[in-house]
Amino acid sequence: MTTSSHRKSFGSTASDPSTIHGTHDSTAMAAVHSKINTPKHVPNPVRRALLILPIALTGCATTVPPDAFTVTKALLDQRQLQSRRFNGITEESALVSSSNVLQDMGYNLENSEVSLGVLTANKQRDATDAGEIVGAVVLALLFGVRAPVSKSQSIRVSLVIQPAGSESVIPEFYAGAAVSSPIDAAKKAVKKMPKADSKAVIDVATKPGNYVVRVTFQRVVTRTDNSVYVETIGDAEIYQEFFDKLSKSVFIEAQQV
Amino acid sequence: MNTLFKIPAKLCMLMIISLTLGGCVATMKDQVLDTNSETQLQKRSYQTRAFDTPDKQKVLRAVISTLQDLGFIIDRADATLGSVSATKLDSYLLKITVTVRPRGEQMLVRANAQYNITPVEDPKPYQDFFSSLSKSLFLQAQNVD
Repeated sequence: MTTSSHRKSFGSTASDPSTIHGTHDSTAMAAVHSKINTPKHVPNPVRRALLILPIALTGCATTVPPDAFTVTKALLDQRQLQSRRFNGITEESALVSSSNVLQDMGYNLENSEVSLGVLTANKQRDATDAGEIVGAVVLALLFGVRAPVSKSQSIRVSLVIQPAGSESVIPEFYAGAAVSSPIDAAKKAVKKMPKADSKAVIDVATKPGNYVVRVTFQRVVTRTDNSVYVETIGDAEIYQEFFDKLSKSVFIEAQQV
Repeated sequence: MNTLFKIPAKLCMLMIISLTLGGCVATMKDQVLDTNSETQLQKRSYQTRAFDTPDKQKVLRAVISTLQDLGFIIDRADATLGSVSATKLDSYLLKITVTVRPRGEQMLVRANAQYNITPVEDPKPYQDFFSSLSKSLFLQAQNVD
């Protein structure tokens, strides 16, 4: 839709020099005509229009990446990294432990909903990275280019506690995502599972006290030129360390009761 | 003489810019009320699905875990309102708000998303979302009229 309108306007640019050409045909203008017709002058509006075209296109033709709402292999790996199971705890104590751990790590609690097991927190921190600065200096020395480096970052974390059970089933049928009906896929996935496993899943789901904690960290980094980049943190060590701390906190919480 | 022809050139550039931008830049009223493209009914139909369950809590939990599986972090959730808001950062910014409300023996799930600074008005991403949700709910997503 947008492309056609751009093409139209682009076409009119190309014909513009010729319309000017047609309206002014006094002899005094002759010299100018020849100037306009020289390659140096004529392609200018065309060239400029070509420059504007992509800018105008990106300005409004924004579409969601096709895989933004699909579960990819990378997302399944992420899920593995971000989830831990805790047995024999109550949801409330797990939330209290989690908020304590997040406070230990300097986060400000932002939002919570106990009945859904949701907790969000954030903090602002320095983002200067020694390696990145060295790289920028080398670039500046070699090419005289000043590359912007990370300056500050806003880190957000969301933590969700869900009753354990379904989490071991879902990856199975996401793997066969091409199947037309999700229900059939789900049934197939359950069938495919070894008998003992599917029984375990049902047992866990009905038994209270087993929960899966899933935590995700995201950060928004501002560079020295005030440009911004965003990412979901995928560093396995960060998640490992967080869950180590959470396990200790859950244990302490349990001891107090 | 030279300058006389430079001005039309600049003018024509301005015309091109206004023509190209005019096609996609909406007025402030359009941006505030999002009224420039589709009707409310059209929007609701692809943003809404019904699930055969009276359990609001279960659907809300499934919405949360589905969003997490899709790489979102949960910004806020409210069990009373039945709403969940989430953000995905993956070199782009994707925000979504999902609401769950009962209708008879069913739960109506409505999602609306924003990609960077534009509303998501393509039905496909919503289809993808509801398909993932129906997988984690073990329930078929039904179209709502």
